[in-house]
Amino acid sequence: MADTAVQDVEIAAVSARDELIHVLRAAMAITAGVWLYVTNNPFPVSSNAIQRSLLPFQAIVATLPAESQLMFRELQVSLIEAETIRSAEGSWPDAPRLREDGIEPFAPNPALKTVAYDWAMTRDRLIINYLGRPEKPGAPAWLVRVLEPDPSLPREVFVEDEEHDQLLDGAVLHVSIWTRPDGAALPERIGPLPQAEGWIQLYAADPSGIR
Amino acid sequence: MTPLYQWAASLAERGILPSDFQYPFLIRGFLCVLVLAPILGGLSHLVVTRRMAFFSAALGQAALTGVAIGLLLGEPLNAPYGGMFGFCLLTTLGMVYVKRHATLPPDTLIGVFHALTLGLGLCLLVALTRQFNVHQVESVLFGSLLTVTDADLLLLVAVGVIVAILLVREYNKLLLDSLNPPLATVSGADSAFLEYFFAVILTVSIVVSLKVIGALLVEALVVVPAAAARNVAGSTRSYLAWSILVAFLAGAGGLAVSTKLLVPTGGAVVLAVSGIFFITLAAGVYARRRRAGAYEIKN
Repeated sequence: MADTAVQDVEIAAVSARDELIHVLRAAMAITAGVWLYVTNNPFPVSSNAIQRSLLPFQAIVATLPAESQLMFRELQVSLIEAETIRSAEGSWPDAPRLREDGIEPFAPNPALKTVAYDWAMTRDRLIINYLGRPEKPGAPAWLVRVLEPDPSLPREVFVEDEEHDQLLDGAVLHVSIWTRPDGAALPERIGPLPQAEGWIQLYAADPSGIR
Repeated sequence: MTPLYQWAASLAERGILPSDFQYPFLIRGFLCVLVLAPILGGLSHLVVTRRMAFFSAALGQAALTGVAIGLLLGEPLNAPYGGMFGFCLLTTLGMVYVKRHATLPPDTLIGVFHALTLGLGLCLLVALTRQFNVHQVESVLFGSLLTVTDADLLLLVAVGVIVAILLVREYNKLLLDSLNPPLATVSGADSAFLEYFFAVILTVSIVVSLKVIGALLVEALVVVPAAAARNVAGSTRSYLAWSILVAFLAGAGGLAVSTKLLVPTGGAVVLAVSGIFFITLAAGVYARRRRAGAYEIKN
């Protein structure tokens, strides 16, 4: 009977001062925890400042094998050649044209015993892709992607970095160089987001511009 | 995780899974949805019952500031968790304490915190753009499946398990405290503790969801599933079950849409959950009318 009897229960709230002390203690514990975490970050990031500013689908070319570094350099140079032709002639050169002009890697260098590539240029509205499929299974594939400015939009301000180039008429291009480890398993068409299809965007230097 | 990705890719090649599952980022995204749906769906009906929708929105904005603080403290772009957890938890403690002791209405006080954290975040973002390329930062701020790593997934699973255990342990007290705080106190629950406890687990759950859904949209997944569930649920148990189901359908649907149409995952998930809300709203109205019609015929 005693259990079911009506009882008076005193509800004593914690004083605001005591509650504030508890909150401050918790805040200090959180701050200390964050400080410990920041000074001993468990995430696998290199101590290198460049690695800190990369997303999971980005890499610095210096971390790749020497052959890949050479290919990256050649693609950077060939991109400048292609942009020069685009500025002069008004259209992007296709892969056979670059090969005829002797521009590496579109024109293979017989002195180098590197993997042979089948290069093709495709255009999807404003996106121009130069895609290199390896003839040897297991070798990486390569992609040079250029995004032309949308003529219906105001002209973009040119930023001097690895991702922007400028034509002679001042048009700002978004450019990027990508690699994909297993080049044999490439889909027929490259989508608007190469990173969603396993491609890795390469940089020569820190994309955030920290020197 | 590589064997799991290879196994899923082989199933995709054989046509057992959709072809998109050949990409590890999509498998990670799907696993994130599987973990996030019960966490956010389970929390969302308590968020709605405790009228904490605006509080959740303010936390999402605070996370933007947390990202900026983390990056300025030297954390990597891909995992500024120290800044996010630290700043959001401190903001939560501040908001709950002031809300409990100030005489102003709670939404006004949360509005003050909301404005304060956002203003601070914007100022810090300007400082941040001197260190980072803004294109690099925006995918972290607005959520992108492509930036989710195995480490993020493991953190999400760990937090999900801890939150689930704590929620199951305190669920009855939390629900009673949400519906009738004096009754909860009389029955032995510490109302103040429960208020801080729920705010903290909500904060932790929001922070781990940010990389998938994005800071600006995360509050949608802690409010809309419960709002949709409320349209069709007939009991507290079905309210919880519907909330989780809606969160899962919205997550999986949004993921599929974002992959096919190449739109941000967060935006696609929010559109999906909003679409489900309006479907359940119409279904709820239809069901009530049918019940009312049956009652009139009976009498």
